[in-house]
Amino acid sequence: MFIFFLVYVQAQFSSKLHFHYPNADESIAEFRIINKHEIDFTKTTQPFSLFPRSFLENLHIEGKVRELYISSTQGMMPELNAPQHGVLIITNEDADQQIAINQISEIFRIAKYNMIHDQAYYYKFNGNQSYLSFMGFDDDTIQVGKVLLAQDPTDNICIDGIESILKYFGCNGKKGVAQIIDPNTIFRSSYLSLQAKFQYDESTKTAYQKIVLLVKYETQSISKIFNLDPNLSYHSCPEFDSEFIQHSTREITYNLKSAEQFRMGQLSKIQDDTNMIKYSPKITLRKFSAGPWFAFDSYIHLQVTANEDGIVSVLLYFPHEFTPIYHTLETNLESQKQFIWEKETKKIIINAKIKQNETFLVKIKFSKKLKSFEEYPHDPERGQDIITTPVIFNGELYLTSHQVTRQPYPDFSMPFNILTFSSLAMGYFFLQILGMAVDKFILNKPEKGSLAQRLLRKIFSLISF
Amino acid sequence: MYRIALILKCLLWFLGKWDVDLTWLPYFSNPYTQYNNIKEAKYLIANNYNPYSSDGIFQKPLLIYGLIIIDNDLVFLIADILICFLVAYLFGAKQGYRKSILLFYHLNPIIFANIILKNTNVFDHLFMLLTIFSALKTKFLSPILFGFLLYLNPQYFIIFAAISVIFRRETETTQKFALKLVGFLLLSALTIWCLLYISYQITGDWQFIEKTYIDYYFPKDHRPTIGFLWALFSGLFSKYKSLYHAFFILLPICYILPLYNLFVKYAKREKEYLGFMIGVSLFCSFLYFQYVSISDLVIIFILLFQRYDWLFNSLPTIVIVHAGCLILFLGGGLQLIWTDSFTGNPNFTFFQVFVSYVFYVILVSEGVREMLKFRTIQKTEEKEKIKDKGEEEKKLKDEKKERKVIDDKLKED
Repeated sequence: MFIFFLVYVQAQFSSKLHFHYPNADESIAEFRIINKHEIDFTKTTQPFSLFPRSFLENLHIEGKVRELYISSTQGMMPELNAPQHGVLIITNEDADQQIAINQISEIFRIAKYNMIHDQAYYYKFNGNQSYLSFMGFDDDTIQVGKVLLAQDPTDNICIDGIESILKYFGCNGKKGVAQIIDPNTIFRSSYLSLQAKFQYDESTKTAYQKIVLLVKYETQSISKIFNLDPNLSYHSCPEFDSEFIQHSTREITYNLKSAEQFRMGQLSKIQDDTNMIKYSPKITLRKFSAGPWFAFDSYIHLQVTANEDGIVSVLLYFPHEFTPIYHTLETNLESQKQFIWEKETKKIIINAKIKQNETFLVKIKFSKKLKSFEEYPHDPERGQDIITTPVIFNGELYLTSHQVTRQPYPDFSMPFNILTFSSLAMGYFFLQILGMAVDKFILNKPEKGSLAQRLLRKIFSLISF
Repeated sequence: MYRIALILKCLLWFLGKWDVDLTWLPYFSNPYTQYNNIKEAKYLIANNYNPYSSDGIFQKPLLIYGLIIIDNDLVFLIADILICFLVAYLFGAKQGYRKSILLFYHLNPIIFANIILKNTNVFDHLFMLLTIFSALKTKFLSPILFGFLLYLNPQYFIIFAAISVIFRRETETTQKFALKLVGFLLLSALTIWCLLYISYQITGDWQFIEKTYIDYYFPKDHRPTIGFLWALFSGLFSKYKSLYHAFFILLPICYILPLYNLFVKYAKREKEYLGFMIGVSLFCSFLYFQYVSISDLVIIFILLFQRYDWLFNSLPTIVIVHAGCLILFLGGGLQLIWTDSFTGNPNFTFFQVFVSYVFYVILVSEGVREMLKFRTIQKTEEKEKIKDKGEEEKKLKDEKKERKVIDDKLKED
């Protein structure tokens, strides 16, 4: 699928590179590309597709998909409270969501069953005042009912997606801000998030596309991650209507369109002498899964340490393959517990008042269930993810890390053999009973023969009916 | 002797500190019978939740609420002792057999572990025996107890074959027998409906039906059990599961008529066959159930051994020891290898269960065959006796005639 422009009246193509400095040692670079075209697809003569294939190689969405949002991350960024994840939201009127689920499970390589039955799990994000936000689209709202949360962070598509998405950064990534992105070295960063949103408005006949790339890295190693050869000169991409480089702390904005030439070395110099902002979260979270990895039951432990007084709400979520054992739920502080069941997903909401420097401990046992063949991911040995637990403290949302727990699985190699042997034994028994029920026993006096003959007769009498 | 064993068992239960967790023992409890479900239900009810909102509680509402209200572990010991006495009373026609049942039951560590584990299937066994007891003694209670038994565990529907044999034995004409059966079934259905309605009133909605009767056959638990079909269903594709489930749920029903045919011919006058028949029926039914616990097998084998005297004549008797070792020792060992390390092949567990069941199948089918042959021998001997009697009488008659002729001749002379 690719964007095929035949006729456009008005286009708007802008890019921005924004640097943030959450703490003394780390920096965040946010690339934002916005592309708006008026396209009348009804006048096109050749077949068209709306979404870039390069980013979604395996995705073959059929039907009239009007909005596509995809996000894929790698690493951890506590400042965003964002865990590793992959999210795909498809808004469509006519397309079959079932087909979409089947197709996107190929990308994220998780079991389809998770996506169908765990759709009750969602949470809203409200963008905060700064440009940092979980989604990267702080001015957009996501329709909560259509969120499909994927959980396979090691199979994220950043790796293949980065190189081919560069062409959407304008000038095939050879000019403009995209020039500093080096697909070979960018993965040395501690956090990488690629988010893309594509939308087509039929009434205004406008195709809208927004791509955000967030990179967090150690400030000292900026030159190892980005393509910042001091000898290279930077040229603005003529396709862009506007191009800016922005720094949070010194509120410096460089308009690259007006600057005729800009050296990459200047960027790094700006990095060296900026004031840094200290970031301090209000709570510290620690979540882990306890118990032997081979056990049929396991424990979840959650520790919340507060830096100030407040009310904490914990949302524990169990998908269909895990069943919490409710009577094992323990907390060290007095708390209100609420159990919610939505089809096959189970949620536990725990509210408690917590004082400064106090630790709130939550512990619960859960049992691991066996799934059907088709419900296992392609690599069942990896285990099953227990996704992040949202913790709301004084109105602010925090997310814990996610865990991976080993799950038992049947032997995938022998279902046919087991079926055959079982059916053989059951059929034999059934016919034995049925045969004896209708048979008339006529006792024949056995002829005395040799030992071998008597033995053979005995064996035949055992197996015959 | 057995009284001493019983007293020792009770003392051991009362005085021993049984807070130890025995749930790690393989095959002794399964998701349908474990007492953990009662604890979970108790906690949820205390927090004003419907216990059937959660997965994994398979016990029926009346049992759960009953156990929560009683709240005393003594009920499991009492149920266990009652079961033993009922078995001995109902099926122990021979004095020696009665004593050996009582000893085997009370000295059996598996049975004792079952009491410690507080498995709830003890009530299924109790109601099954009470149903048979009432079918033999007090007629009017039997449909109610049968309804209760089916409410607790639908797998016991197979007992209907034994009840039919009892009724046939006691009625003279086929019409009376049919009426009795129809009346029995209607009353049982009414009882089941009443119990379901009471359960609905207690729990507040019909959710328990989906969880305890439908999900009952579609569990997602992965602990291997000695149920023959566990491996089959655990590894089956979702596409075919419904088909196989429907097939294996209905198959035990197909056994009712053959079992009735088998035993009604031979059990008309002799009570001893009844226990053996019930053992065979239970084996037929539980063969198609995924989650069989070891205490179920113990009951089945006690009942099958009723005709032990002629069983020893047949080859499969020897395999009982082998099957027992296979299940408890080899199976337990392999289970530990797989469950404690997840590195072994789960098919090891399946194959040792499969081999054991092959032996059990041979045992049961050959046991029935030997029983029928034995009965055939008895019948043949009876016929020959009658024939001999007839011949003797004929001989005597002929001799009398000859004598008469000789006497007449002598008289003439």
